[in-house]
Amino acid sequence: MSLQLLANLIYLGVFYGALAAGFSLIWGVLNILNLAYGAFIVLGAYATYYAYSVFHIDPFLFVPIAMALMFAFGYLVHVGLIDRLRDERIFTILVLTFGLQLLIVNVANLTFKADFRSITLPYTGAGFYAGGVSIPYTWLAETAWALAFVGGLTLLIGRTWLGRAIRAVALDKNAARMCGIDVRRVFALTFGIGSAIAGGVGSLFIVTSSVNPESGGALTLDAAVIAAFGGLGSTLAAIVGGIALATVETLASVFLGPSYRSLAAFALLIITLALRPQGLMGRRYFAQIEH
Amino acid sequence: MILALIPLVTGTYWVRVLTGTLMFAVLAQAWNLTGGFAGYPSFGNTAFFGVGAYATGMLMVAGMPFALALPIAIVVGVVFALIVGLPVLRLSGHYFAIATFALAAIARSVVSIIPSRGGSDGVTLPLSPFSADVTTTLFYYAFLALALITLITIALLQRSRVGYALAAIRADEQAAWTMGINSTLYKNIAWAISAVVTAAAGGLYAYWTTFIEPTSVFDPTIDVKMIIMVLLGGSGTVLGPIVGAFALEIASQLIWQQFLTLHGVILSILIILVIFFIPKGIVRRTIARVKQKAPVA
Repeated sequence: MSLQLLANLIYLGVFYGALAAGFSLIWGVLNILNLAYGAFIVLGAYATYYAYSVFHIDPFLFVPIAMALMFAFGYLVHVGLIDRLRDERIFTILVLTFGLQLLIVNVANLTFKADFRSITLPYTGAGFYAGGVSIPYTWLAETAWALAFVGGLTLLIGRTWLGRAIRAVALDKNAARMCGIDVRRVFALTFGIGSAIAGGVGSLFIVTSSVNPESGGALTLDAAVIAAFGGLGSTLAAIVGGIALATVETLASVFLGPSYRSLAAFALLIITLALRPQGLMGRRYFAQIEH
Repeated sequence: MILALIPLVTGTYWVRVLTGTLMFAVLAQAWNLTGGFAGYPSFGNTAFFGVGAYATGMLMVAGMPFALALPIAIVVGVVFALIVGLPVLRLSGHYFAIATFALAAIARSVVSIIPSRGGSDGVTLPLSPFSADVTTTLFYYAFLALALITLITIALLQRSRVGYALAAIRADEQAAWTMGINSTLYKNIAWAISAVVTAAAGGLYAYWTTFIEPTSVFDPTIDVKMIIMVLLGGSGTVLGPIVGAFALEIASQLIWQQFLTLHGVILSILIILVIFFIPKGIVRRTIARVKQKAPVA
C-alpha cells in the first residue's frame, strides 16, 4: 500500500471520526438518532460559504463561529421541539428528526437554490511534498480541526464538571436526577454540543467537497454507520469507526470500483450489527435510555 | 368496521391518484404489521417492494405472463425476507431501524451495479394488452383488492394467537419469552407476511408503471411515507394505516396543486405538527372522542 494511500486514509478517517463524534454523542447520551444531523452539517457549510463569499472570512477561521451558531441552533431545536415531545417512542422521535431534516432541506432549497457550492481558497491546490506523499495545506488544516473537535470533546467529557454530568445522565438518567443534575438541561446542552460539532464539520466539508441542500442525507448515513460500527460511549470509538469506514470505502473503491463504495459501507454495517451490535468499542449502558 | 369503499367512476386523474393511495395503504398496512403490532420499526420495506418489482419485471421481460410472474415474485420476496430476517430480527430498536435501512440501501446498490438486470438504466416491462383506460381501471381494482385482502388478513391476525403474541412482544419481549412465546417465530411470521404484501405491491407497481429503475423503486421516501401514514393513522390499529394513507396522499395532492414551490416545506411542517398533536394517530383519537360522547353504559 503506498504511503499516499495511507495518508489519504488517515485524513479521511480522522475527518469521518469527527463527523461521527457529534452524532455518536447525541445517540449515546440521549438515545436519539438525529436524522437531521447531516442537515446541520450542511447549514454549517452554508454559513461558512456566505461568510467567505460576502465577508471573505477564511473558512478555517470561521469554524468556531459556525460551531457557536449550530450550538445555538441545536440547543433551540432541542428545547423547542424534541424536549416537548411527550410521546417518546423511538419511532416518533425518528420521524420528528426526519421531518426536521425535510424541513431544513426544503427551506434550504428555497433560499439557497439547489446548486452545488464549494469554496476554493487561494491556497487550495497548494501543498507540500514529504517523503513521496503530497499533502495539500487544506488537509492539514482540516485534520487539525478534526482532531481538535475530537480532542476537545474528549476533554470536555472526561475532565469537566459538565462532562461528568453528561456521563452520569447517559448511564442512568434517574439516578443522575436524584443527584441533583438537571437532566433536561444536560440533554439540551449535549444536543447543542453535538450540533456544534456538526457545524464545525460543515465548515471543513465545504472546502473539499461541494454541498447542496440534499447532501445532508448521505452525511447522516455516514455518521450513523460510523457510530454504529465504532460503538457508542467514547470519542475514540468514533475515530476508530471513522478510520474503519474510510478503509473499507477506499479498499472497495480501489479493488472493486468506485460504484461499490456505498455497498461496502452498508455491508460493513450489516455485518457489524449482526455480529457485534454494540460496535467495536461500544460500552455498555450507553443509549439505553428507555424511550 | 368495514369501510365500504365505493369504486369511483370519476376522471382518470383521480383514479390514478387513488390507485397510488391504495398502493400506499397496502404498504402502510404491511409496515404496521412489524412496526405497529410487533414494535419493530423497519426502515427497509422498500427492499421487498423493489425485489417484488424487479422479480416481476425480469420474469415478464423473459416472456412470462403477469399472472404467473407475480406469484413467483412474491415467493422470491418472502424467501429474501426470511433470509435477511435471520440476522436482522435479532436486533431491536434503533439498531433494527438502522439495519433495515442499510438493507434497503444494499438492495438498491446491488441492483444498480449488476449489469444483467438493466443496471441503473432500469427495466421496461411489456405493456398490458388492454387499452389505456381499461388498464387504469383494472389496476385500480387490483390495488383495491390487494388492500382489502391485506385488511382482512390483518384484522383476522390481530384477533388470533399471532396478534396477541405480537402485542406481547411489543410490550416487553423478554417477558413474552418468559411466558413461553417464541418471539422469533412470531416476528418472522409478521416479517414474512409484511414481505408478501409489500412484494405483491411492488410487482403490481412494476406492471402498472411499466418502467422501473433502482432509484424509483428503492426510494427511501417510500419507506418514510409508509411510516408517516401509519403514524398519522395510528400504529398498531387495523384501520390506522389506511386512514393515514388516504389522509396523507390526498392532503399531499391538494397541497401540491395549490402551493407548487412551498409544497415540500408545508409537508414537512405538517409532519412535525402531526407528531405533536396526533401522536397516537387519527383512529385512536376518533375512538377516544366517540367514547367520551357515548353515555356511560
